[in-house]
Amino acid sequence: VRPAVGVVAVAIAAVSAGTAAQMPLFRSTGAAVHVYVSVREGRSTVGALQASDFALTDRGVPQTPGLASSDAVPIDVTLVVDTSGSVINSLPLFRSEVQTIVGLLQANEQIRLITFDTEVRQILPMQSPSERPPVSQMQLGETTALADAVVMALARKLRPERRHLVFVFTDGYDTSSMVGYGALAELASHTDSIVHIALVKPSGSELPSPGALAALSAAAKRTGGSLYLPSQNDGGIVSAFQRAIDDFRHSYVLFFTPTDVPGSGWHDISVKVTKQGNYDVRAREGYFGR
Amino acid sequence: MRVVAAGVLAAGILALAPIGIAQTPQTTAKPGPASRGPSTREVLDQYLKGDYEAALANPATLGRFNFEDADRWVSSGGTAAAGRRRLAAALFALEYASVRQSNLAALVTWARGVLSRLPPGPNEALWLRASIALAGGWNRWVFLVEGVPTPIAAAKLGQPGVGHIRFARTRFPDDPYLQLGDAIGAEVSAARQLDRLSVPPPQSSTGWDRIAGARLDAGGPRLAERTAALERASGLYERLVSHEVVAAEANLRLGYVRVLQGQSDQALAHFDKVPSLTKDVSLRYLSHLYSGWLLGSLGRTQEAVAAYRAALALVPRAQSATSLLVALLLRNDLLSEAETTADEFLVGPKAASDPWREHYVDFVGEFSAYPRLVRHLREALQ
Repeated sequence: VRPAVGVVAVAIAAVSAGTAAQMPLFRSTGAAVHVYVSVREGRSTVGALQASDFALTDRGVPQTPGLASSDAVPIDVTLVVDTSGSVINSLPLFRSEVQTIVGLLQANEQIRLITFDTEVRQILPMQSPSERPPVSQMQLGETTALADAVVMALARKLRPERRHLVFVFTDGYDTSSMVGYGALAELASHTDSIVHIALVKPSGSELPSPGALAALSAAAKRTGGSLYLPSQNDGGIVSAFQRAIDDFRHSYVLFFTPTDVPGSGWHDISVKVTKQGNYDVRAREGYFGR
Repeated sequence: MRVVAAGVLAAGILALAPIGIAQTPQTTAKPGPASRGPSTREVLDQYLKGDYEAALANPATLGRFNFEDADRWVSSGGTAAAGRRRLAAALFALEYASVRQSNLAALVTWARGVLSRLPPGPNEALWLRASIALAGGWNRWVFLVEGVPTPIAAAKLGQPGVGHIRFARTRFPDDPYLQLGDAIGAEVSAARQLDRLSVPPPQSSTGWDRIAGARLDAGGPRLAERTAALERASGLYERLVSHEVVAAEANLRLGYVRVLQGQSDQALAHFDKVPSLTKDVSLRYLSHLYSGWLLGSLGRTQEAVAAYRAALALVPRAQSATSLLVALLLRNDLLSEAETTADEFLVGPKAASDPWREHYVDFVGEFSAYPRLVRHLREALQ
């Protein structure tokens, strides 16, 4: 199996946090699969797990993963913000939350800002969070090209020295994309990005249909991310973002070379923590082998 | 005529949209006793004199177009002026309908009756095209295909439900534009229930979903009805694919119908013909866009990429082709190329217009046709 680019294409050269500062953490080999794994117990992230604490299967076949710390791998964040007519009541809040989120980033992290209504626009290219984002350029539009915007955000080649988090704020409606909701999960699976989607309550309307929500949820979960419903966003979008980036910052990087796994196509991955405890384990659901 | 939105329905040859029209003040306020507006006859006099702007400002105060007064006004000019008065009244009614959407069916039905009392002529044909364009732009497909929307309205107008397009074709059976409009009506009938076309598209239904969902092999409700409608549409388009005026659009639309019928090779053959048949950028762009989508769905990735690139060569940084291209590249693990393509779109200036959006989203059709047709009719009136 040759794992698909993006999901994979990287192998870990240095496997301990202690050595990460001295040598590159990743190198491309095109042979190994790496999986970011976030482990929580209650509200806290769980640290100090060892490779032997994880059970990983690829298409149901147990694998023997190695473990690397991801602490030394900075994060690039792409914020994808809905500015369509249906979020008219939320736009001022979105502007403020973007400012707050940028302030939460660390100096070695980067941010870019994409907005979408009928059109998808890049308001801020990927850059250091040291400058204030031009939130005044987030202007209200008309229809909603949510799926197209997510696809544009996902279109990012693998950078072995960095990780990519896509964080979307939206009411979840899509009225004008070319790319269908149904395709998002598969497309996200071909990238190395992790996708989180935070839904806000739409202005004067109900949540999107169950089918749309399921498709958005599937897209996020495929990558190891989450869909946050409005009822889960009591702390606001910022709170959801804080949780997402904390998980990512403290995630484990498991890597393995698929063994005894047949064929190309989609590979289901399952990751569990074998150590005793009540853990919430999140990881991408699989990858495309070729 | 330009048109378009291939099969994607909605648009229309004649279709066009209300945007240019919307610049005219819209109001539903009726005149109060102290501010009684001009009568129908007074407004028609203004219009006939060429004082269009003043006449069209009056719908705000006119309140109600009085058909009986208008009939009397048409007749009052004597035989010599009858043709000109009929055209003026019909054209005013059409422009009035453009700002009073709720009266569109009644106004157009009345006006076509006024014009059809004389032998068919070029101005009537042009007026019919303009009226179909307007109704298409407002998504009045029930009216266009089946006739006035309610039995009450039909009784009031004294005309049973005759689809407006069919009426037009009865008057001008050989007019290629009206034939094309007839085919589009059949195609639209296949896409959705007509009475659902005037409401916004379903939530979270995107272009890709719609095309895939509309294919006959996707099953779904009304399969026999949709199959028959697409067969009728394809038969009508077949007659036009070599027509000197409408061949490009007919090929584009027929290709789209073939997509829905699951006949991919035939669809691609029709799309391939379009660029050599027209200089119209929208038609050529859409032919490449559809080819790209279809080739991609067939797993012919390199050809699909080339098709999307051809579309983007015509309309650089158009969002529709860019989105589909980026998705295709992602699906094929070509992340570096996907990033480059997305960056070119995100960083560069946006396309001034996206043919897909102009012709498809929210069923807004081709905009340019209606104002141009009305302009020609006004010139004919003078």
